[in-house]
Amino acid sequence: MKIIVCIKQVPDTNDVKWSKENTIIREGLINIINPYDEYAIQAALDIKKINPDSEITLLSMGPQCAKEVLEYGLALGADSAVHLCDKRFSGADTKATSKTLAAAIKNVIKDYDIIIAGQFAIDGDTAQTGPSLACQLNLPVLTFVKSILDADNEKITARCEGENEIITMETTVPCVLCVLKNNKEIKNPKIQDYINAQNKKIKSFNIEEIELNPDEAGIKGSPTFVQRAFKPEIKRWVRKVKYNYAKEILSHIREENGKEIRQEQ
Amino acid sequence: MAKKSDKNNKNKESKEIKNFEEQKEAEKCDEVKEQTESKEIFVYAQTACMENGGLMFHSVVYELLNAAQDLASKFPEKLKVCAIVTSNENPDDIKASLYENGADKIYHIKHEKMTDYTGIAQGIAELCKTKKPEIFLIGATILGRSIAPLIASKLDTGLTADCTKLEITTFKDEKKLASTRPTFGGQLMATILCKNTPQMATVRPSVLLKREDIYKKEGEFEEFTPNFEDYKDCIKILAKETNKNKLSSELENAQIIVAGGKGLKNEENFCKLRKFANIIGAAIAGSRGAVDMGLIDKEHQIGQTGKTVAPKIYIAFGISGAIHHLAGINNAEKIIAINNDENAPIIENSDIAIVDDAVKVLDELLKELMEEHSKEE
Repeated sequence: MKIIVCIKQVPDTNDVKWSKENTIIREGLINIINPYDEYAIQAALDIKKINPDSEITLLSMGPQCAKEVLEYGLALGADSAVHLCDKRFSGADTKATSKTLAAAIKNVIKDYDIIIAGQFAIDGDTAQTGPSLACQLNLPVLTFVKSILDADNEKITARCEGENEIITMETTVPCVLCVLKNNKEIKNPKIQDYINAQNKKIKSFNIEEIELNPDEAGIKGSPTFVQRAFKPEIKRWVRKVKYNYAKEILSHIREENGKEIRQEQ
Repeated sequence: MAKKSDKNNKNKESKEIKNFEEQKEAEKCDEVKEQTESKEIFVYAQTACMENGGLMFHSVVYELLNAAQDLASKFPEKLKVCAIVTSNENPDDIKASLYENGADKIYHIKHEKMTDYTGIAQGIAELCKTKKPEIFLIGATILGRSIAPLIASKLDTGLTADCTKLEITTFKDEKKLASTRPTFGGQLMATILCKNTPQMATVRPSVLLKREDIYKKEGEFEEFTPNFEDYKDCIKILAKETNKNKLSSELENAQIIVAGGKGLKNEENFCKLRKFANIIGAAIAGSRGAVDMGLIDKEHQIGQTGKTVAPKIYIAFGISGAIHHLAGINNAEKIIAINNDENAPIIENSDIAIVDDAVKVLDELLKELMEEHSKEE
């Protein structure tokens, strides 16, 4: 089986800087692989265990430094990696991102059965790119996947989180899966794993090579834009209590419970 | 070449002009039509099954209807607020609650294939293509966050995720939806606009308020049968089992929440917290730290990666109040924080702050309650 895993490099710092255009300046930040994407890679490795002839291709859009997460994924056990790197990709919202990934999948990778992505990315936290990608490729998608029960060349069965329930769903292949974190421990690759991964190729592509119209990528291709970014306000008046803690706390609780009783009457 | 103007070319030109005029005329008609039909704001009316098997709407639907009415009133010609119902079951018994909470109109989309996310998204996208709403709001539930990106992609428009505030702003002489959302783990708020229509947003539940008075008793109703011609049926639902998550909805509706963090240190102290919560009739919750230490179940976690709550009183014992935790309690009416670290962010973000040992305060509370109890007897 041919498996594509979409991964993203995200900043891991409290010091977020924004550009004049109100987009995030990613250069100079400490970067990590999006934690959900580690589980996406793990899910692909699990499928490979059941289907040993599987091939895992990592796909990531991002600046030069995004290669780091691809190297990390290769050390974890992926077979090859595709890096989409072009200034014209930057500033993309979820729509432009999913169009870019879709173009690369259609025109460069071409052959695939399953596409796996993390449900969320911890920076933007939109949870939209995976489902949008499925839509761009006209593929079925399972979201909030907790675990993959079975996978073969025809169908995938997975347990997915629903509103107040766990839903077991089956989808035909090819398809997109958006995975959650689970209890499985992710093992960090060892130095030897990195050495072994050195022979694996990371191929880079620009906008022309993935045959995408520049109007559909990056800021140009993004219908949404940040009008304003600001620090969350603190709107509380702190009153420090120095003694009689218990009486103070209980008086607030009684006041509230009293209100409720009055309302019921 | 350009100077050459033989008869053929002239004919072609005049034909083109004629076509152009016809087109203009047609556009004018469209404009007139658009003016007479008022523009619409869509709100997805997500249903949920009650324990007795009956149907009800998710509480976020009422919050969104109220918000949509507020947005609608900011346009020179008030927009029509429309609730979009996709349940294949008959919503007759409960649809009055949509009008009462702010719907001017209900669209009921019906199709047998609207059972999974892809099918629901297909049906809704078809309605949007016909009705061309200005704004479309969807609750940021699991269902909402799964179908919204599919709908947005089908309509080739933008979508803002998990918003906590909605406003109308004027941008380049146009009234636009401004959706504000926490980003970067709640460290920054971003206000996002969308160039295309519908301007779509998913909105976090329990953040906006539902209306207190009744909006209207009755309203318009229209049934819609979507086109499923090119639809591929790929997903099968094999089984559904209830998640033990049920407790979490208790959290989302709780008036008083008692929460514990790493500062409670161990199981024994957390038991004291549970006891206190039981006596005062509060729901119990924990910080990510407490969940990581195994003191409380993940389902009870409050914060960016857990639940967002809006109780009247939130009492935090030994929680430092990292930004991702604060993101989940921003809408609490009153926050009482107990932490021995004066510089803990929760202290600065509280209404009532007690800088002391959380376990000591907990002991004091239990003692006080016991004493009162014995006095009553």
